Amino acid sequence: MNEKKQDTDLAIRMRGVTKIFGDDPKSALELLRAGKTKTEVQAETNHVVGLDNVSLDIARGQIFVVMGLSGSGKSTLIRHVNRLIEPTAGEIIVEGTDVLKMSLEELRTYRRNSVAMVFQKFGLLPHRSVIDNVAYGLEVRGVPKAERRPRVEKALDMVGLGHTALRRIDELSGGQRQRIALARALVVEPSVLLLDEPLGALDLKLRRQMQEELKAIQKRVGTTFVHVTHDQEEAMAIADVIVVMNEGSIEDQGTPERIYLQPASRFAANFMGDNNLIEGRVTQSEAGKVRVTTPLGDFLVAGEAESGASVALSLRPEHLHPETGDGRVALGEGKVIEAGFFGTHHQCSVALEGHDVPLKLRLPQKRLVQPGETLPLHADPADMVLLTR
Amino acid sequence: MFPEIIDTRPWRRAIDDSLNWVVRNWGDEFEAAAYPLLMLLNFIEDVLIATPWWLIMAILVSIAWLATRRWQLPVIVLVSLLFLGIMELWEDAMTTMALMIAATLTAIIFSIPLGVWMSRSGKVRQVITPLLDLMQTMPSFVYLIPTVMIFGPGKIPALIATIVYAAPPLVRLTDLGLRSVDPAVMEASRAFGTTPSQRLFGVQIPLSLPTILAGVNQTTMMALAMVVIASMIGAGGLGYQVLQGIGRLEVSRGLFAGLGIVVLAIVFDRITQSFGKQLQAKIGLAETR
Repeated sequence: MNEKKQDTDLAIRMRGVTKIFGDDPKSALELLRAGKTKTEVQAETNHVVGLDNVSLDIARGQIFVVMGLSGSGKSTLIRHVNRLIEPTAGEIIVEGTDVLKMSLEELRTYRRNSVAMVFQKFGLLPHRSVIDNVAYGLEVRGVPKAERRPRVEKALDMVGLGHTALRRIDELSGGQRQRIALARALVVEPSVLLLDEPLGALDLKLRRQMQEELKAIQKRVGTTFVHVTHDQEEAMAIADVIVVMNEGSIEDQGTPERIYLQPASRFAANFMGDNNLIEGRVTQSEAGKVRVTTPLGDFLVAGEAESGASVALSLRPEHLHPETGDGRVALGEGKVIEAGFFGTHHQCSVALEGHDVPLKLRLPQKRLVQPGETLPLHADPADMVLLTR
Repeated sequence: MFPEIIDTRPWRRAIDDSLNWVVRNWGDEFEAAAYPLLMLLNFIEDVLIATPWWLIMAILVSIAWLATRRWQLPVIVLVSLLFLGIMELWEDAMTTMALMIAATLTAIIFSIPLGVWMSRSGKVRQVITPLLDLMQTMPSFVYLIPTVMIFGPGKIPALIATIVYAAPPLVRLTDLGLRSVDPAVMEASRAFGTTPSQRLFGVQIPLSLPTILAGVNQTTMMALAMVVIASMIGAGGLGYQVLQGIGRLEVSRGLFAGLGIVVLAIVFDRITQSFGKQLQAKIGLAETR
C-alpha cells in the first residue's frame, strides 16, 4: 500500500538497466552476470559494457542531474528513457508505463507526447525557420497549424526569443540556438524532459546564465528534468538530486549537499569539487566510530568499518586550517609548493612529510601566501568523511 | 598462349541462343514495356520543337536568372543559345535536349528511390555498388547491341543506353547525401517520435538536396556525353550531325555540332550547379559549425 503511493510520485523508475554494445550482447551479459569485470568482458568478447545494473528512482517535478566523465555512460543512460538506445536487460517505467513493452507505434506516441529531449549539438533543422523548428514536435504529432501558432509563440517567449521567430537557424548565436532547442522540447508539454549536456557547447559565462534560466523555467513548468552534465558547479547549482556515474555504474546518488559533504566513494569525493584523500587503515572500530591510522596521524571519525580495513578519509580544502581551533588536531607542518588567487580565496598545495600527494587548502582572501612558506595544518576529525570504497 | 582449361564455346553459344530466344519470343513485350519511355521522349521532343525558339530562349534565360540572381549566367545562356540558332543547329539541339531531359527524368525516377534504399541498408549497398561500377565502365556498345536486337534500332535503345550510362552518379550521390545528414539532427528527429517516412521526407531529403542536385547535374552531363553514340542507333540530333561530319569528312559540320553539344552542356551544367549553390546557402549548413 505504502509502496504504491510512492510509485505514483515517481516519474521514472529504472531497475537493473544494463547495456552492452556489440554484436552478441546476450552472451556478454552472461559473463557479466557470472561476476566478470567490465574489463574482462571487453577483453574476452570485444563487447563494451555501457551501463552495468543501473537502478534509480526519479521523483516527479525534480531536476535530476546525471554526472560523470565522458564515457561514464551518462548519455547512454538518458537515451534509455526514450529508448533511443535499447537496453540489454532491465526495467524502465516512466509515469507508470513500462517503456520496454511498448510497440513501435506506442513508442512513437510516447516520444511525441510524454518525453522530449534537448541535445548538446542542438539538432535543430537548418532548413527551417526558428518558428518552424519550435513547431516541429507539434507538427509531427499532427496538431493543426492554427493551434500550433499560439503554443509556439508562448514557448518562444518563455525562452525570451519571441523576436527571432522568422529568422533562420544559422543567423542565431550558440546560446540562442540552445534556447530554441529548449523551446522546441517544451512546446510539446512533455512530462519528462531529457537534457543531454545542453549547455556543453556554450562558453562558461553563458553556461552559468543559462543554468539559472533552466532552473527558473523548470520551476514554472514543473516538468521532470533529467539533466546530464560533466560540470559539477552546474550540477550543484540546479540539481534536486545528483547521480554520479563512473564506468557505467552509479557511484553515488543523493542531494548535492549530501554528495559534497558525505560522498559515498573515493571517486564521488574527488569528482565533486576539490578534495584531499588521506589513505589509512582502521585500527579500532566501535559503535559508529572508527579510529583510522594514517601517515598524518590517528583520527577518530564517524562511520562503520571493520578493524584492519584499508580506508580513505576525505577532507575538503576549506576544512584545512593553518590555525588551531576548537576540536582541530594538528596534521603537521607543510611547505607551500603552489599558490593561486581565486578571487574569493587563495588556493594552495602543501607538501607534508609522510604524505605523497600534496594537500589542497583554501586560505582567506586577504591572507597572502608565497610558495616556499611553511604552514602548520590543522583539521577537525568531524570534517573528515570515512570512505570504504 | 594461355592453355585452354575448359571449352567456353558452349557458354557463348548459350548466351547468344538465349538472347535470340528472348528477341524471338519476348521482343514485342519488351517493346510494349518500353513504350511509355518512347512516349515521354517523343512528347518532350515535340514540345521543344513546337515551341518558338525565342520562347525557349526566354525560358532558359529566366531560369538562369532565377538560379543566380545575377546577369552573368543569363548572358552566357543567351549567347550559347544564339550560337545554336545561328549555326543552324536549333532543331538538332532540341532533339538532343529532349533525349537528355527524358533520360534525366527517367534516371531521377529510378535512381532516387534506389539511392534511398541503399542508404538504409549496408547489404543493399554492397550489391548495388558493383552493379553501378559495371554500368559506368562497361563499354556502351556491349549493351547497345542486345538492346538494338530486342527493340530494333531507334530511339528506345538510344534512350536506354543513355539512362544506363547516366544514372549511376545520381544513385551514388543520393545514397551519399542521405547518409551524410548530421546524425545529431536525425537523432533529435527520432526523439520527437517521427516515423521513418517523416524523417526521410522532412529531414533527410531536404538536407541532402544539394548533394542530390549535384547528382542530377552529373546525370545531365553524362547523358550529353552519350549523344553521339546514341545517334549511331537512330537518336538523331546533334550527335547525328557529328556522325555525318565524320562520315563525309566534313570537319566543319562535325566541329560545329560538337561545339553545339558543348554549349548545351555548359548551359545545363551552370544552371543546375547554381541551383545547388542556392539550396546549399538556404540550408545554411551552419548547424554543424
